[in-house]
Amino acid sequence: MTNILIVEDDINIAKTIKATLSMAGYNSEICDNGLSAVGVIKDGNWDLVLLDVMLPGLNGFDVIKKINGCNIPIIFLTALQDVLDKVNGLKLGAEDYIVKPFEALELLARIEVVLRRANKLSPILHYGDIIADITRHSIKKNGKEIPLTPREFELFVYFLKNINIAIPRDRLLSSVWGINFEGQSRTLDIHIQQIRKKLALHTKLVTIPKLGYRLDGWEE
Amino acid sequence: MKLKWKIFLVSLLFIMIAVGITTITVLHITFSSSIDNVRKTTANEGSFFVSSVQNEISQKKLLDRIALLSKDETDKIIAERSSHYSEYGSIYALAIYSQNGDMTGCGGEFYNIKTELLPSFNELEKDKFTTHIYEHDSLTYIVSASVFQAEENSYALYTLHDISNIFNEYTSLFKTAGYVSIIFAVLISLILLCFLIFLLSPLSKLKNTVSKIAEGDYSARVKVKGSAEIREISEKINIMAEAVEENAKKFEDIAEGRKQYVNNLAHEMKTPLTSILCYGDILRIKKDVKDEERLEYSRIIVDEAKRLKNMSSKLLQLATADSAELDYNVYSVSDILSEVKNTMEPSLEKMKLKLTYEGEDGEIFCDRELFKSLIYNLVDNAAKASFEGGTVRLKSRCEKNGIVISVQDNGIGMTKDVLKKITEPFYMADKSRSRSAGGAGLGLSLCLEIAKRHYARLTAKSRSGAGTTMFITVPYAEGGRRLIENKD
Repeated sequence: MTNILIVEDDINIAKTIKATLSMAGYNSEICDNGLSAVGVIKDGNWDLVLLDVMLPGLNGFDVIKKINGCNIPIIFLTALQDVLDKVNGLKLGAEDYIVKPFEALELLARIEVVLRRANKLSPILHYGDIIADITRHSIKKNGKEIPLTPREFELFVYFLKNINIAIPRDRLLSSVWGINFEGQSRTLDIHIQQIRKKLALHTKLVTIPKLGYRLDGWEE
Repeated sequence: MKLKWKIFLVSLLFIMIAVGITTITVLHITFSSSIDNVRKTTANEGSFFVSSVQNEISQKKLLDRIALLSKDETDKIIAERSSHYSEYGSIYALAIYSQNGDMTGCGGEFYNIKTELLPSFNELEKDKFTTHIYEHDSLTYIVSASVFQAEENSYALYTLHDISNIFNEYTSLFKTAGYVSIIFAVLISLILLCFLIFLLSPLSKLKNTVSKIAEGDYSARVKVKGSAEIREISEKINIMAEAVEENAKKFEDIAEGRKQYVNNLAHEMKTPLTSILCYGDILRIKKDVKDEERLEYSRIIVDEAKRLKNMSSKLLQLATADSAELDYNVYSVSDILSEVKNTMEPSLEKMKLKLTYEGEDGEIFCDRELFKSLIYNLVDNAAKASFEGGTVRLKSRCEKNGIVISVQDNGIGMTKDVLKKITEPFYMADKSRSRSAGGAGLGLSLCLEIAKRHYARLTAKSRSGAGTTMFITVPYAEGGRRLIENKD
């Protein structure tokens, strides 16, 4: 279970983040004060810290200075779009920076990247009788190796990381094909068809009309 | 053309004219008087000649024992005397004519004169000399003419005097005067020019300083020295620069304030938007949303949306309170405050708070709705700051300079530093309380704006932990009407 600490003084925003994290299966706690956050971080066993810049007590940048030795990946949250703040945060050792307001999936994607970079996530993902190995780019169903094209693999892995979450089409396209993809979005649908066929996921990889696609949990 | 050149040329012109006129006038007067002297002399000499002729006639008459000489005899004497013309002074030439037009006698080179130019016999008067000035052969003569009687015969006497030297003298004097006056005028003007350059040099320094100020160096000042007018201008320019610098700072401050305002606004709007966006997104993409989750998320979305709506309507009020179309009239303070109490009592009761009103009545000149909105805001703030079971007290008191309305709570109170900032737009003394109650920190800046429109003063007293009292001092209806209507 991945433990994430949310350091944010606005209780409403903190709650939205907690809800988002739990949707993705992460465990999280909220701390609303810079000073106490330092203690909580040092004493706890956190895999990641989401740190707001404007905090009562101690501001975000000072907090990160104080916990530098702990080796915990940090993502800064802020409402300001000041370039200097971004640079400052990254210079002080944060892994990434996200500007409020942000979409749930955006936050989750960045968290995932940071956790992966810090090797906190297993490279092997399980889904029913399917095992995906991210480092070796291989999929095995019932022990049998299934050949997928690189794009198909990435697309399927994206769903594996976001089970039971409906992913909008544009997010799928930008995550797997890149932000500047200018081709037809029909390619997405073709890839989905391929995955369904190759991995027999017709009932699990569902189409959400007007939105995108969703990989339902295997246990149902 | 530059000022100093203008002054130089004008003064040069006037000096030349002045000197010229003076010299010419003086010379002319002197010249005229010289000529007059010569006229007198010719008259005298003429008279002398006539007398001597008369003398000779008398002597001859005595000698010859004759009572009356004949015309021939008389003519002879005249002719003889004429040839001795030089004995009578400085006569250059003379001629005597008989009544019949014959020349009776002549002396000197009279024949050079154009006789047509001379006055004829009939024009001359006895014993009175008429004079004319003639030019001939580059010489100038004065002719003096008269009529005299000798032995019952009339004769015309013309004497000629050479006055060329007088004329020459004066011509050369005029020339010299002309040269001298030109030289003198130029000299004086040059001196004047130098003086002007010296006097006006501070002007160029002034110009430089003013240019500096115009280019943005508002701290530049002029050194005050030089003659009186220059000092005056320098001082005034410095005062103006002072004002410009002040205004520049004021505008900078205003711009800074605006920037801050917009920053705060952006921040305040992003926060509810983040919640709305996030929960809405979750509701959209999460597969199995539990009932309690759905209820909580949708509640938050609605609350934040309401907060945004509240904020935008307050902002709109703030903006329109700035422009003029308000509906002023005379109203009773008690009326207004009682109305407010009745309207707000129920909602305060819901928060387990009491709302009371007591006080003196008076009349004020106000826009009823806007003024009520001011009181609503204050009561609202008081309620939000209060603890359960507390009381919000509305009071009114008639004082010397106006009616003092107060809104008092015994709630959380504020420290001095917080108190200073409460009317800044978006400032909230206690973020969590205000936000949780749906506020956006705009209420008091709106109140301040409304107070301004009514020429009322807004003050506050507070002690941390003991409560806050807000005071509004409104002018009485008469004074208020005067102030408000004068401004418009």
